[in-house]
Amino acid sequence: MTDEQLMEAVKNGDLSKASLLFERYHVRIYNFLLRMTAHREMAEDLAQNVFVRLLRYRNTYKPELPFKAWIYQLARHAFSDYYQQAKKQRWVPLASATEMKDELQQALEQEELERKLISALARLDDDARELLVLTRFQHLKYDEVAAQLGLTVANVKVKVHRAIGHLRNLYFQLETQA
Amino acid sequence: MKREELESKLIDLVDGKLPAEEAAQLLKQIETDASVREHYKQLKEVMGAMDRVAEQTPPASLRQAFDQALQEEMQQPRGKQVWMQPWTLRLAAALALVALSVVIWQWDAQRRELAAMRKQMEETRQLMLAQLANAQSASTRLKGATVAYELEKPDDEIVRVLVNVMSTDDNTNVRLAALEALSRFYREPAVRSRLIQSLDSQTDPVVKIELIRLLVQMREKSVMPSLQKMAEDESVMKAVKDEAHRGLLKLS
Amino acid sequence: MKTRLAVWAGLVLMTTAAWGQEFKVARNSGRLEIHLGRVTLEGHNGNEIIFTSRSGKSESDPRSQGLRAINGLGLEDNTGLGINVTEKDGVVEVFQLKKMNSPDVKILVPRGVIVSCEHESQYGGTIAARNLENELEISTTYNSIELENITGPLTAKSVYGHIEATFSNNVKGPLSLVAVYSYVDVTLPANLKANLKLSTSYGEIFVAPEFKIEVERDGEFVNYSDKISGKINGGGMSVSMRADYGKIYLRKK
Repeated sequence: MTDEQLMEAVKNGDLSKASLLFERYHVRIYNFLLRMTAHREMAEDLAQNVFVRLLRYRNTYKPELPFKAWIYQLARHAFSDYYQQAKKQRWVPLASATEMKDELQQALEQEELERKLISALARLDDDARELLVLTRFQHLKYDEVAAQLGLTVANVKVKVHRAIGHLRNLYFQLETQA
Repeated sequence: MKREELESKLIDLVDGKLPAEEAAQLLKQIETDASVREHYKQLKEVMGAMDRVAEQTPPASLRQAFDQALQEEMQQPRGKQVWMQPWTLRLAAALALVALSVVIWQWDAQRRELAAMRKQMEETRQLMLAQLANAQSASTRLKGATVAYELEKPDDEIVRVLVNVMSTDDNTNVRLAALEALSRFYREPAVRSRLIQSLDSQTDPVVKIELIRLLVQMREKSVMPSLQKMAEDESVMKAVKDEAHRGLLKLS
Repeated sequence: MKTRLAVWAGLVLMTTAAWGQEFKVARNSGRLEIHLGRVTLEGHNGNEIIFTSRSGKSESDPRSQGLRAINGLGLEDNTGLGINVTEKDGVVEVFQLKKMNSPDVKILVPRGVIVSCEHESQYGGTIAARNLENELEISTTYNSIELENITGPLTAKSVYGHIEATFSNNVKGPLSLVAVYSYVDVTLPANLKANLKLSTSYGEIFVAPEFKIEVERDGEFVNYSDKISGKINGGGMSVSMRADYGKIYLRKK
């Protein structure tokens, strides 16, 4: 069954089909949120939130839309809700070094390169980071991202390239500091 | 060429998306101009690093939390439910009990506890049934069968599902675990008759051996003709025939 | 330093020579279903399932030049490794082309993929896995199963072959190992919290003295077979081993 058929079944009350969608998407969604928040527990909480939303708001799913686009939308909303709340409550801003610690420590055993990358990524602004996570980590196509963000494909490309350029600066500054 | 334009081209080059002619031109520039070369090298490194970042495996607790959320959602009365089976009535009764205990909450702690226990039992039961139905993962189904093994007393639905798993699951280990769970309730007449019925249709030799053994331990003489047939059938695996043969000796 | 480099270079060359051919499928979740008579699985951190073959190129046959190999099931060698790999509905399936001759294939598997191996024919060798953190399902009739430094969850069955498994410190249950004619030999961390079930009908059970099993007696039947069930270290995940005619060995790591 396709994702869309499964989601339609869920919408029509066969909730058990949601398990299959969970199987197909939870790794991806978790990783999207992990790269966005750079925080394992937060990513887990938010990923859970995404799938709870999938169940709760199943009636709002429109079968003519690709399921993939819909679930990414849920994930982006979950992230931005969290971010809004974090700002309101004056939590430590996302990209701060302290918040990175968790992810950094986990990455310690991994390659130096990856650690550097994650750290540079966290210092990008949210929009740029999101673009890179969607296109380079999650391997979404430009037109999928364009539809998601309400941009033109050409615009997405320009922005992705800018984000890469910016990331390069952050990445190599990091090296000179170390 | 403007700096941003150049960078964009370099990125396309790394991605292998630049038309051959432009690529050749740019490569020449990279060769001759040290600063462009450095720029290219750095882009390649940072983009390569992105490619190499490993996808992380989500913690197992994510799946558990989801399973639980799914169970809770399934108990919400909204939406069309596909499982309007008799036991939903029992579920409704349990929910009613919960509701009642809320009303008398302040002065009847004991009843509250009981309701909570029922709810929890119902949740466990739902989780178990969902696990047993998980087509993706044999280990999850195995987990479900293990939970069933711990049950005090199964209801009809559970027995039906376990018999079904024992007879049709793709995975031998899962079938065996379902049989093990059922064997704990062999005194229940419903379980006993299902076990007897399923002997002939069991297709997995390993499970069949265990089933023969169990029926023999139950002193179930009505299966002797089946055993006789198995013991004589040349197409049956030797281990199964041997077990059938031994069973006949024990029962007669 | 120089000699070290030389040794490394040598090693690298050797491995590339031995594992010359490579075939990759980008995937890090879903199921991988393997229908090969002989395979070595290994976990890795990447996002691709990587197939390599030690058998080398299939014997060169000048007559076959320009033709493609195809078998009775209509499968063709789409990997250059003597195996067919297809992908549908989130499942990657792997078939061997020759019924009687299993190529020596090694597969590197990313973490999130559920791995299933199924093989019924009597031709083939060992199903082996090492350093694997994936959920693993193995079902064979004749092949032996040899697992090293894996975490589980695991279901393994072999009718005629033996099962050997050494688990890492980070065991994830449930574990279920079933053999009929041969032995089951399992090594677990000494501090593992588990509900154990060990059973054999005509074999024997050997357990390392470090595992203190609090035996639960069902008391229902007088068992003619040997069946032990009980908790170790207070109980926890379900671990079950069974060998009808073979012996069971439970060792501590």
